[in-house]
This record gives sequence, C-alpha cells and structure tokens, in this order.
Amino acid sequence: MRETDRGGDGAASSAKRGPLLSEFVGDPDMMELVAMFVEELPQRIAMMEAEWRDARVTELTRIVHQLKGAGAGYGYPSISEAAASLEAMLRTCPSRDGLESCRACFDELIDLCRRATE
Amino acid sequence: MAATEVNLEQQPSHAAPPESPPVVLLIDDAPLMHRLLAARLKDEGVEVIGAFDGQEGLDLAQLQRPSIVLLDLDMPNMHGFEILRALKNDPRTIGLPVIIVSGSGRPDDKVRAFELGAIDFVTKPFDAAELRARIHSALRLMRLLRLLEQRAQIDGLTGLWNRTYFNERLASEINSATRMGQGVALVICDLDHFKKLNDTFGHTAGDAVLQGFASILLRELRSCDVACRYGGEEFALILPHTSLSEAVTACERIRTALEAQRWRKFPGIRATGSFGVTTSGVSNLNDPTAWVEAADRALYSAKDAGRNRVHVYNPRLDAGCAPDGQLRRAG
Repeated sequence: MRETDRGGDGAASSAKRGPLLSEFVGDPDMMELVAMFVEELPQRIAMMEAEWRDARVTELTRIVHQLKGAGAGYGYPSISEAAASLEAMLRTCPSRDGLESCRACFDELIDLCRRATE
Repeated sequence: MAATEVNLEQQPSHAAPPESPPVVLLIDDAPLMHRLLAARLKDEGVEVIGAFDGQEGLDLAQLQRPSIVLLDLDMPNMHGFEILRALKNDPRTIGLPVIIVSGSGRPDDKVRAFELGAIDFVTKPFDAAELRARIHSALRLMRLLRLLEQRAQIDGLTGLWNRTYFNERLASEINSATRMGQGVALVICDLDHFKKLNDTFGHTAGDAVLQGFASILLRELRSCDVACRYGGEEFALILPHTSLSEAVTACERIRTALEAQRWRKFPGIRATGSFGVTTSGVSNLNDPTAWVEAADRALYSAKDAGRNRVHVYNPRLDAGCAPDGQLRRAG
C-alpha cells in the first residue's frame, strides 16, 4: 500500500488528512522496524515542539536533520521531504525572531509525523 | 621496471580461498540509521557492526578489521571529515574503503569527501538498492586490488614493484654481483615531510605526489633497474652494473626533477626527497640485511643533514656522508 494523502493545503488539520502509512506496510522484513520508528515518533514530535517553543534553533535543526535522513528509509518519503524543506529554512533563519517565517514548514512536518502515528 | 598488466578477471574464481563474510562498519550518531542499515543489509552476506561516535568508530576500525566503512558526516563530537582524515592517517586503516553516507547533498561536501580519500558518497535518505550496489562495488574493487597487488607483486598506487618483489630481487642481484664481480648499487629514498604534506593538502594530493615521484623514477632509470615502493613514502632502487658515482649521478637527476616537479591540481605543493646510496663493493654481500642497513644509514645521514640531498654509505665511519668525500677517496 502506498502513502496516502487526502489532499488539501499544508495548514489543514490532521482530522482532514487521514493516517500516513509506511510504504513498507505488508513487508514482513521491515514491519518491526517501522513499528519502532512509529513508536518513537510522539517523543520526537514533543521534542521538536519544545525546541520550537524555546526557540532553540540548533537543537531543533538536529532532530529535523535526522528525520530527513531516516524518514524515507522507513517508508515515509513525505516526512523526509518536509524535513528537508524545514531544515533548509532553519539553516537560513537569521535569528530566534526569524523562526516564525518557518512556521508553515514546521506545522507541515509535525502534521505528517502525527498522521504517521495514527 | 614496472610490472606488466594482469587481467584478473581471467583468474578462475575457485582459486580464491573461502572468505569469512565482509564486515561493514557504520559510524553514525543516530540509532535510527543503525537499525535501518542492519535491516537493509540483512540478506547481503555481510556482517554489520556499528559505532555511535568517531572515537568508537576509529577503535572498531582498528580492532575489528572491517572490509568497508560507512561514515556519517554530521555528528556532535568528531565531524565525519575529521574521522576520515584519522582513518587515512593510520597505517592500520589507510586501505579501508570509506563510503560517506550523509544528509548533506552539497557538492563541496562531496568534493571534500573524495579529496580526503572516500571511495564513494551516498546521500540520505538513501535508496536501499543503490546503497547495496555501491557497497558491493566497493568490496569487489578492493578484492581485485588486493589480488593484483599480491599476484603481480606490484604496488597498486604507483605501478612500481612492491616490497616482496624487492626482497626477492635483492637476493638474486647479490648472487649475480658475487659471481660476476660487477658492481650493483642500492638506493633507499624517502619523500621529505610526507605526513605533513598529507595533512596539509589531503590524501588525494599525497597519492598524486607518490605517483609523480614514481613517474620520475621510471623516466630517469634504465630498463634493467628495479624500482620498488618499499613503504608508505619510502622507495628502494636496485641498479645493476652501476658504480657508486654513477648511482649518485642518477639520484641527483631524480632529486632535482622532484624538486622542480609541479602538480597542476595542487599548485601549492613542493616535494623533495632524501637519498641513501651504497654499492655491493662496500658491504658484506652475504648479508642482504646489512646491505639494506648501509643504504638506510646513508638515508638517515641525508635527513639529518637537512633533507633534499643524496648521501652515500661510508664503511670507515659505518655511517652516511656527503658524496664528495666518499668519491674523492674512491678515486
């Protein structure tokens, strides 16, 4: 089964867009691994939200960077893409005050991660 | 002087001894990556071991003798490039193929990786099939290289004879010299400040200098001369039917050629070499070790006197000295 996306723009709430499934659904070799990834996602989401709230850009970028590198490998290419966009914005973000300009990208990544845990 | 080429693809595969599965070492700070890689390489006939930081990775590389290293760049304590440099500076790990696996797709990171000696570069998120293909390709390349070096007795990088061949030829040249009473000269030369050159300009530059020096040797020596890569930056030359003064002249030609050599890709590099020369006339020919040691003492003397020069072994001093004194005495 493929990753599903019911469409709509990035600001749409989770309720409209439905669960995000790994490309490896049905692959016995990968399912245990995907399960572990999904299990750790809420913790990653919480960390990212905390770093965002306290404007700790470096720490936030690190978590986003790791999600970018791993997402597609676990069957979530959209998470890798969203993380890549956010990472690029965070790296050119001038200061704590400039963080707001990254909000749309941030929300998109958080949304995808939440949907993957559903 | 250089070995003729051997087509290894024609060697029967059953001739190779059975090997234990290749060990793949992953150095990455993210547990996510370790789990993923172990799963993706599960059926590839390799054993996967992992380290979470640079120092741990370096220790494992030295102890466990992996066949290939997958190296992340962006890590908290030691950056991947630092780790790569350390791997290439250690004789125990210098021959290990390293594939950089990084979330950075930046061209200048890729360029730097290759300059520092990485064999390949894969961006994250990686495609599993592609990574597998690149790993197998690198392993195959290294296997062929090792076979070539062993069977053809040549040094892979420079195309000169390797140390094993040198030891064999030395023994037979000693026999000839003893029987026919003709002089054979032995030279040991060493590139000056080579480690510093590698650290400053990188592993690729160091290789270019070694290859450049090998070219000079092949150009300046005769077809009956034997030129070998003796060690990392050390070379040994066996010159049959050669007197001491002829050997010194040849070394001077090589020395000045190296001094004048420039590398287009590395315009800042200036390379020099020190040379220690001896002949069959001055050493106890029944002992090849003593003969090599004589040339070594002359080399040491050249280094001690300031490098970038040719010294000869003086049996009266049992040490090296500048050629003028020795040749004047020889008449």
